[in-house]
Amino acid sequence: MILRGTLGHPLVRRLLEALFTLAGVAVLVFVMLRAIPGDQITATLGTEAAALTPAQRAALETYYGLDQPLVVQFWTWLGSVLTGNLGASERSGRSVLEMTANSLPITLELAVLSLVVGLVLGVGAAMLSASRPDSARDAAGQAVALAGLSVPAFLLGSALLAVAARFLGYNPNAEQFAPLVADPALNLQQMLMPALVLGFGLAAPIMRTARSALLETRTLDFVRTARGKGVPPRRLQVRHVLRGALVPILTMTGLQFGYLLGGAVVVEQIFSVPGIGRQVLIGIQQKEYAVVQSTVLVIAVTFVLVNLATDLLYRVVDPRVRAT
Amino acid sequence: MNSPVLEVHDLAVAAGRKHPVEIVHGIDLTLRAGETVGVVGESGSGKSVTMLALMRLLGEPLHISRGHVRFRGQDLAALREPEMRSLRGREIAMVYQDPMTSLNPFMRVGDQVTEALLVHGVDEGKATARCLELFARVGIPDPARTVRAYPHEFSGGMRQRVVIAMALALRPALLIADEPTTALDVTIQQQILGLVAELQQEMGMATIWVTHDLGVVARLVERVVVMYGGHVVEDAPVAQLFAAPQHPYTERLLASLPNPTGERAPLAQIPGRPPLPSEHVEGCAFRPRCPQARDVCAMPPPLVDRAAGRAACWVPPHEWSA
Ligand SMILES: Nc1ncnc2c1ncn2[C@@H]1O[C@H](COP(=O)(O)OP(=O)(O)OP(=O)(O)O)[C@@H](O)[C@H]1O
Ligand code: SF4
Ligand SMILES: [Mg+2]
Repeated sequence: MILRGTLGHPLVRRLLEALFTLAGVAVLVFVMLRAIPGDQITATLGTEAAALTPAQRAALETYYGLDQPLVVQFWTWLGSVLTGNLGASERSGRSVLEMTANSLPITLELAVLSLVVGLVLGVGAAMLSASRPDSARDAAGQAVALAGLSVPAFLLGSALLAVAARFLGYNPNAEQFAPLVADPALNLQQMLMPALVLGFGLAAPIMRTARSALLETRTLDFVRTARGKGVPPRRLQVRHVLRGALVPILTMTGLQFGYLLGGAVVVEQIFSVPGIGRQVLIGIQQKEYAVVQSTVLVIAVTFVLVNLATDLLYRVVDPRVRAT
Repeated sequence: MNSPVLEVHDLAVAAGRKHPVEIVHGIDLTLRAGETVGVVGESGSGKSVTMLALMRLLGEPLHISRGHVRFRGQDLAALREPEMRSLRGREIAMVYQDPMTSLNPFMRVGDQVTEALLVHGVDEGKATARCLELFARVGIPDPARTVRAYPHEFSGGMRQRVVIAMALALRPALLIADEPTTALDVTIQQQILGLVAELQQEMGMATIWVTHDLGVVARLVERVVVMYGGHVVEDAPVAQLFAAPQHPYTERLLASLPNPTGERAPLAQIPGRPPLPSEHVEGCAFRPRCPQARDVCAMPPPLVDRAAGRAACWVPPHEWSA
């Protein structure tokens, strides 16, 4: 009974769901790598693999565990991943865990900054638009949002970099990347342009969702009740209308996190930010299969965890969900 | 006591600006200080729209298209929004039809009551204390704990008590109760009606009771205003209205009231339905359903003094056919 009660709790169910998703992600990443032509031996030795004698090859297969059934290989791999062994770069010899420990926080910082930019721009523009629907102000807001939706990050990023570097002579990203703790001032400057580019892309869908959510919330009875109490416009907009529109805005923001991780790959490349996106790209360029495999896994896990966090946030934002 | 608190003259509400459709067609209504008046009419007769117009709370596309709302000497219909805002909640307050939707689901109920005080300049400490007092007064148990609840944790009746606490927080001179009990269970209805009536007497505010059920307000009000299709068709002291209705619509409404055993006379139902705002009825709006209609009714009847009240009908009761 108690167990059933616990399992029935939405929070527990959500956690189990996340666990299943993670397991699925692990399988997918594993299978994807087996499906790619060539194996670890070819990947490691390159064309030299062709020169291996069958005996040498068999020895290597035993060494890498490739002679084991796939299921056993999967369990072995999963076991090592779970104990923190994500493999190592063949080229530099650095472990992927160590590389990720450096790059993931950078991407997360970029993501948080972009979210801030996206929310401030998106919700701000939506509030301006919604305050006078169908006015010139609304039209301008929507036009900018449309631009944000249609201009790809690589274009906007390159353009921004070109303008800043060439005409303003400002390019903090040309310098060696500074981690946040080492040199916050330089770090934030280096994060500025990438966060603006990613944030602008985020702002567009947030703006559209927020605008319609705000317009709808405005007409609800409880907003009229607040007006009936004599609540002044600013307080009304923030405490009642925006508060009421927060759930759809949050949902949209959560959905955009995937875009954010994808966009990070591009933007980190343009602005030489050594984040996790760049780690994947370099891995691919240098045919470092272990690096790519583990990094993709890390990104997927991050994505699942962020979705979980978004769901948990609902409980903070909506007291009705909190109650269940 | 005799000076009117509220004088509504020729108040009209229309929907849309380009091709406006008039919904309320020039209402007259007067309330003296401390007076209780019932506004009665079928669903769609324009009761809520009129009340929201008094509060200047109409949402797009509705707007006041003509008329005056004189409240303590000021014309609310012409007041600038910031001035109107300072009256809302402080001088005029409203209890709404549906307590399930009229509270902010994201805000603690206590905060919603406190907010009514804060926005009118009461300081935080006083507001919090007054909120606890109000919760106790409107019969919400354990205020110290329940102020922290969210609306969904409350039943409809309890939510309506919160709305009432909110409306009465600053002891307004005029309270508008727009069918505060229609969404509630019958037993709860009586409690809520009793509560508002009690508080009304205690605070001595003028009160408008809106209802579609004459029986509900008969005991609570001194005067009844009957609305039909966006018009006031009769306005009379309650005893007079029940004893000798001056308008055929009022007469039909009374006939459809349940008898003391609680049954409704099935034949007394008024056949047909009220006109929609978009349907133009030539002359008297009640004509298509009126058992007394005759040729003269093709002209709109004015609201004229009749016995102790006023009625808008060409045919006086002594000329009515049975
Ligand atoms: N926003 C709106 N736009 C257009 N017409 C409206 C709007 N709101 C209300 N109306 C119309 O105004 C008329 C009067 O509505 P109102 O809500 O005042 O009726 P009511 O007397 O309060 O009825 P009930 O007893 O159901 O509450 C109705 O015919 C309704 O369709
Ligand atoms: S004016 Fe004519 S139609 Fe209208 S209520 Fe009186 S008798 Fe009926
Ligand atoms: Mg109504």
